Amino acid sequence: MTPVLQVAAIQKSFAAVPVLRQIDLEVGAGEALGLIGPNGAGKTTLFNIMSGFVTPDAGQVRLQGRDITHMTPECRARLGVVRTFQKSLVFPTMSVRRNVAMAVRAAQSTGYQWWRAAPALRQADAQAQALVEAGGLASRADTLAANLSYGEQRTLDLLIALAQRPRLLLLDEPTAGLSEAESHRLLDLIATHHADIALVLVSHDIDVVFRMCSRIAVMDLGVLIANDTPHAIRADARVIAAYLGMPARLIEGAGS
Amino acid sequence: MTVRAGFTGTPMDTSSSRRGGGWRLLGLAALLCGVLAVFGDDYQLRFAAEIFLVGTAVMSLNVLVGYAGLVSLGHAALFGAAAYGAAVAAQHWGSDLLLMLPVGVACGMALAALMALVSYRSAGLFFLVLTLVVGQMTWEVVFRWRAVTGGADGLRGFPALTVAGLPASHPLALYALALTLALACGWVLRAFVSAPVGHAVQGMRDQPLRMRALGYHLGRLRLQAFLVTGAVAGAAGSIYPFVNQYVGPNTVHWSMSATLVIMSVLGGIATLAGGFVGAALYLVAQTQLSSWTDRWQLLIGLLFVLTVIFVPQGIVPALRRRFRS
Amino acid sequence: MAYIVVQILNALSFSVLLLLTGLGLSLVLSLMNFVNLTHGSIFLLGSYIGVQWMASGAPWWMAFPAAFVLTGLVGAVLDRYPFRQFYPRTHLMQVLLTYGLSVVFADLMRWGFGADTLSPVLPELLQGVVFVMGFPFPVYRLFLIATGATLALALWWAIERTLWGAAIRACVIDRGIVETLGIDTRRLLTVGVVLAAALGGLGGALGAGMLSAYPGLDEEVLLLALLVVVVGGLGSFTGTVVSALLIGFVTTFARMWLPEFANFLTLGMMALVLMVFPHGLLGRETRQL
Repeated sequence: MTPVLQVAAIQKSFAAVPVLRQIDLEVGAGEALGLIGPNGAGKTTLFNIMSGFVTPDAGQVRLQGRDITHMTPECRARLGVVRTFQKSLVFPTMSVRRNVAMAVRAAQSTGYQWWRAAPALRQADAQAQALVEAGGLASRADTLAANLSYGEQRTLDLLIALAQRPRLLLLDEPTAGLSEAESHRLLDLIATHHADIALVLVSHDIDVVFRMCSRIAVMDLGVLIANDTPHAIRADARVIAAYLGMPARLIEGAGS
Repeated sequence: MTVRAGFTGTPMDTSSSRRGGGWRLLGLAALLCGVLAVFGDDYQLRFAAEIFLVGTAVMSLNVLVGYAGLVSLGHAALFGAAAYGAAVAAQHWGSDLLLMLPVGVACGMALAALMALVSYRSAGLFFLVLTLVVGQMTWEVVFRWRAVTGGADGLRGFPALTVAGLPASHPLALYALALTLALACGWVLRAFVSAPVGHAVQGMRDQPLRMRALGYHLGRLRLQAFLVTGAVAGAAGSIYPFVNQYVGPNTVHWSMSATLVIMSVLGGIATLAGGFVGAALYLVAQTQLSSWTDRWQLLIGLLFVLTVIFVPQGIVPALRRRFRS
Repeated sequence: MAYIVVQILNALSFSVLLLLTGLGLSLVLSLMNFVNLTHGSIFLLGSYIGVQWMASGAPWWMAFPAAFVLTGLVGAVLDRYPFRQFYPRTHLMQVLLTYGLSVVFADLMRWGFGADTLSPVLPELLQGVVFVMGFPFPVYRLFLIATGATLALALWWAIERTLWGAAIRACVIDRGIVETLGIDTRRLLTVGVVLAAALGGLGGALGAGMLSAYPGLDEEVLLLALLVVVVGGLGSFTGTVVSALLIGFVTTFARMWLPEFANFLTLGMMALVLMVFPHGLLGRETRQL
């Protein structure tokens, strides 16, 4: 069974600074991979490479076996590669419903139409409404995105991504800045739509990662220092050292 | 919550009731137009026709800058090229509106497509300069090709406008034509900005990265925005020479493009009606001021600078707020 | 052959002017992300100052420092009001403000200096021609090349080799960090703006001997300065030098071979360059994500 996402031997440097040295990853349908690591590890750059905003110096990105390494983000989006950004990039002058509709229309290929009354568009609006309700924002469906609270914007951000009918969902710190309750609601939303999607989740919140992910990949300074089940990662000396900044041997000695 | 709109960078009024006061203003405007039609003299009617035509061009610029976020300093070239195209065509094949309009629209769209193509990969200041360059290249052609365009002297001696064979050179006819065109173009642009493609174009203005991540092709959206606004500016430009039976190279110069932007900002950049208010304000001020002082450019410049500093959103949004309360 | 050499010298003198004006515009743009369309007006003001000074009987060589200081003062005043509020605003608003101001300045200068073309009364030393391989070439233009190149070199040295220059370059990258070092960035940036204006005025004074001074020159120079900055790439001194040379040479030789199409061709070439290099020849793409 071909994994949905395969990242092989990825290398990337900006000017003389190597950001990604050698990254190999795989994610299958229905699987959730957590991507963690200290700041500067290269997680966002890896996301950018996976979603097409940055081209790697070496290596391949494969979607369902198909080489997409040099494909533009627009093309990848149409193939089902969906990502969010560290900041909520919502459309401030549009209502919540229309924000989501933008994504539905893109997935339907009706985004460039002139004719407002087309049946496909009404269908798109209905789908958007359904998603808005599922996300708990039904009461705010007509509010302009600029007037939403931070938590509501983050939720809207996720709804837009889900509306794209992703095959591969790349979430960059989806719960950053959210209260625990808001966090839980968001994660439940992801879980209900997660069934056949391959999910890659970047988060600094270890509880979130441990709750959502079946595997965790740990990055530090551009390399993967561990790629295992959450349980194994928790006890991995190298991981602890990377986060605490202590040499691994000291921790190994202390742990035994 | 305030939002920094990309084009003015000042807090935007995002309350959804901002459209409420529009109808009352529209009624007032309709009243003014009617009064003018009945009581206006020849000069005033011609002047009003000019305001409607330039206002239509500014309205299309509003869509390009305010809705699509594409700040262009070459828009006058679209308007002016269509004007020259229509005048030259009139010299050869007669000046019937049924020929003038398509010629104007074609000129506007062709030049707009060229601008879109040239600026395909550029953004921000680079985009601005590229539109300026393409506009100036057009001016160079118009200014130097004396044989066809009359060069620095401009073009005269083309037949007066007719509509389906009937003469339409009387100021009242021109006034009615310009007003009808303005309304028709307003309808077209309104349809554009409220259609999915219009939403997409606004999305491109506010969140280009997100739009790409959604799968929208920004180059395609840019082209569409350019083509629509180019067509409207071209349509307005096609009638322009017939207001005073003259078209000059100034209409194509980048300073005219800057003037259009000034009118756009005066009226309100993310509105459709603002174009007419801005054009009216500027042209009336220009005519009135130049009649009692040589320093009218200084005064207009000052007025504009003060507007930019103190009322950057423009007049129409400010009026709307007042009418709503 | 000799004719070509003379044209090369012509091109160089034009390039030097473009470089000086371009540097002023580029400095402010890179330093504070501020698009200043009054730059052309300041150039013209410098030209008029140069002309008036040389006609007044005062020592001719002081025309240039005079233009430098006076236009620098204008820059200081503009920085205080209204530029300062517009530094954090969008490019569009800056374009609108500075364009409006340029219209005001253009009319003020037309009022003050008249609508005629004014040429400076050149001193004995700089009058006349030198014979280059049998062809006459104005002495003034040689002076222009020498002075302009020296100034550009001095500016380069100031920015790349002095501590002050390093502070300015650091401000462009991250103003906040520079402030944590205890450096008053507000004053540094004001100096930058004043210097840029002064350079523009000085360029104008130097250029008066070659281009003369007339209403409309401000718009022409502004367009050229914008092209120099944009084609060269933002934040790159070398880029500005390269594009000034490129535009200077293309314009001069186009005027020599196809005078009617010269401007059209120059503009077309610049558009082509920008199509191939969307960030200018030596510009750098900044991180968006």
